[in-house]
Amino acid sequence: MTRASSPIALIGLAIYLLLTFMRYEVIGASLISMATWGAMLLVDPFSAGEKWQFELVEYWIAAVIWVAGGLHLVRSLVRRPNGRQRLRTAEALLIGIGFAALTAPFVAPVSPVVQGDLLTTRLLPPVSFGICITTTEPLDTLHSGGWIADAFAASSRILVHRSEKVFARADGSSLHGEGHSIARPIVFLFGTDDSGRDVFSRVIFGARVSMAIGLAAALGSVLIGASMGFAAGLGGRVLDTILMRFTDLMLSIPSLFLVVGALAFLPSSLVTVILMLAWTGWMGIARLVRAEVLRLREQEFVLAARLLGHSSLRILFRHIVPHVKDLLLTAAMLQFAGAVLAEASLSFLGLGVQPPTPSWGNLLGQALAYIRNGWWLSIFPGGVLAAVLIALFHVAERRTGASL
Amino acid sequence: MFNSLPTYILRRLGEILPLLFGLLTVVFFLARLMPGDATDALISPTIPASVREQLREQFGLDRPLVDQYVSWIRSALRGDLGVSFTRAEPVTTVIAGVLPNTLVLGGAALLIEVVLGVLLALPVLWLHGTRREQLLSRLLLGVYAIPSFWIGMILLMVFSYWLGWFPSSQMYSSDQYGSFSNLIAHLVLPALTIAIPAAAALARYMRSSLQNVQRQEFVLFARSLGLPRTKIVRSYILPNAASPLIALAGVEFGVLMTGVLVTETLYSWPGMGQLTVHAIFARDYPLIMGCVLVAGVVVAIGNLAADVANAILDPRLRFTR
Repeated sequence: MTRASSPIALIGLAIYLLLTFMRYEVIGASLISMATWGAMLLVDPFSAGEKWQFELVEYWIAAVIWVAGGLHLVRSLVRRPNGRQRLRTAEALLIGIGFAALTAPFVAPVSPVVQGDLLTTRLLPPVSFGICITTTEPLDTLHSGGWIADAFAASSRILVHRSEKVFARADGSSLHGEGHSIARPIVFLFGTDDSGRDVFSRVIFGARVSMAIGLAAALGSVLIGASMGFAAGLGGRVLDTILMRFTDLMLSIPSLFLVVGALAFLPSSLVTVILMLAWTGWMGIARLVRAEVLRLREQEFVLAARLLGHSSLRILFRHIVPHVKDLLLTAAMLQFAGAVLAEASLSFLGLGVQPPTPSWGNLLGQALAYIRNGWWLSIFPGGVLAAVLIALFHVAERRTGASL
Repeated sequence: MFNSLPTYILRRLGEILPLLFGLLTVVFFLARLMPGDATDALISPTIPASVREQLREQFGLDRPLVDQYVSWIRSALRGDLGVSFTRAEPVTTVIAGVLPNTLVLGGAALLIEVVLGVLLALPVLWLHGTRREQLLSRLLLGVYAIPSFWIGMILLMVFSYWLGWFPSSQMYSSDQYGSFSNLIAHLVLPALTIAIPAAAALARYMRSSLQNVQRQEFVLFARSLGLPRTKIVRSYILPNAASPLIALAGVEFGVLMTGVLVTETLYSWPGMGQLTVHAIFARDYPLIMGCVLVAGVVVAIGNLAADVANAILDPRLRFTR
């Protein structure tokens, strides 16, 4: 047998190596700053604490995931996959976009808020070429804290104290910058927006925001829905009636209207958006879990456990939860898709994630004004969003093996 | 027990009343989520405390919560939802002015959805079990997953700006107000935007329903009689497969209302969705509450209508549990 996962994993490896080659400076700086900070922490905890910068954490996490992801990719290519591990296109897409979201500072060519030179980089079509000038602040004094501290200072300087500016390629000659400037060519794969920002970078960083909100909201919905379902299924008739009537009531209100209405009354923040999405998404899960619990409750193994005198909590966690777990995972996946879509709709309307923070929804909302002369602004973010949703639904359907 | 149709309708109406009550309660507490109260949001912070107190008294915000709740329910049942801050008109008047537009859009979308959904589902009858059927099924799932507002943006881009076939916004062109053909032209794109993903969902349900009916014995019997295939499909399979379709169309009302929110904004369609979004940006609290409430009521009525339609078609459903 040939290795079934080879083509997708090979493409992945190629992209991975290309990006590692292109962004070796930032990736290397992240790794060095993490390693040297760790060393400093061992040698001199006090000064290490003093030099710690919150902005670095983003790069450290990205670096760890970058290395781990690369190792995993290579291992999956070397090892002969068994049937279960065969990677499907939908899963590969989700993993790829998730990976890109986590390692956004490396995958995205420039920061999502970096504005380009307005005269030359405004509304460039996809696959335009440009130049990114990275200016690093000059080192203020020569440190004498030993080579470890110096290496840390140098590497973290590259990550945190730098400013980027983007130019169209033709414009590259007229550049000047203070301090230490490096020019590197970049490709505006998805074009640029009205402020000359790189759309590809914004989509990658937007993936981070959108997926984080979706994940948190889906988790919240599953928690609420599962506890409601368990309580209704096991708590006796009165509780069951009350909870299910409440569920019906919540179901009868169009959820987006409810979220939108609530967001109008609540202070606007990401936490509010997540909480509201979680609160409007639990009803289906509650019904599903309740039905499953009612079915399981009458099964013989539960009756046996009850006859053995086990407490109801033990029965719940040892006998019922394991049976519902798989169902919950699929429901969570669909809920994740729903939450990502809801966030996109909210941000599209201007009620969710506020610009300049990019999310798939507000990218599309901003694209609306340029629908006539900037088709790439709506096609690419929407295409990525749609691809993720389609992949999620396909994976979920394959898991259930039947219609939704 | 068996109910006659009027009793069934009455019983379902009886179930709606507590729901309406719950809806009013949810909307009431929705407004109380706000830190502070409406006066904080509307009045500049520099206004003297005495004036603020006076306003609070005028709006009844100084009374106990239970009191406010009772008076909210009471006035809402009388059809009084307060006065819109921005339009200086009763909320009910404002909503009544735009609700028909939304119903036109929703109705057109529902129509397209059902026709498209059934057409897309029918191939399962002769493609059953083939590779092409699998492909169609995947395609339907894919279309179902695509966010409708993105579909709307693409439709707008292609058919309105590039090809110029349809207008891009509003209900009528300014010089052709009230003309029916003009309305249809404006209706096509927004209705399609809502209907396309919904049709895919409906087709998926319809497919499994058709497959179920196809396996029934009366179909086998009809086939053994040598009836032509089209006749079997038309007179035996379709009517029996329609029941889940209608039930789903009722549920779809909620989806439609959600779709309306985004689609109306996209196409500047003067309906409930656009009104709600405008009200939110204008911080018009009474209007927001009214919109959420009316959206809920529309969905409840839609569900009821679907249930009743089903009960007419299929008397078995009138049995109580």
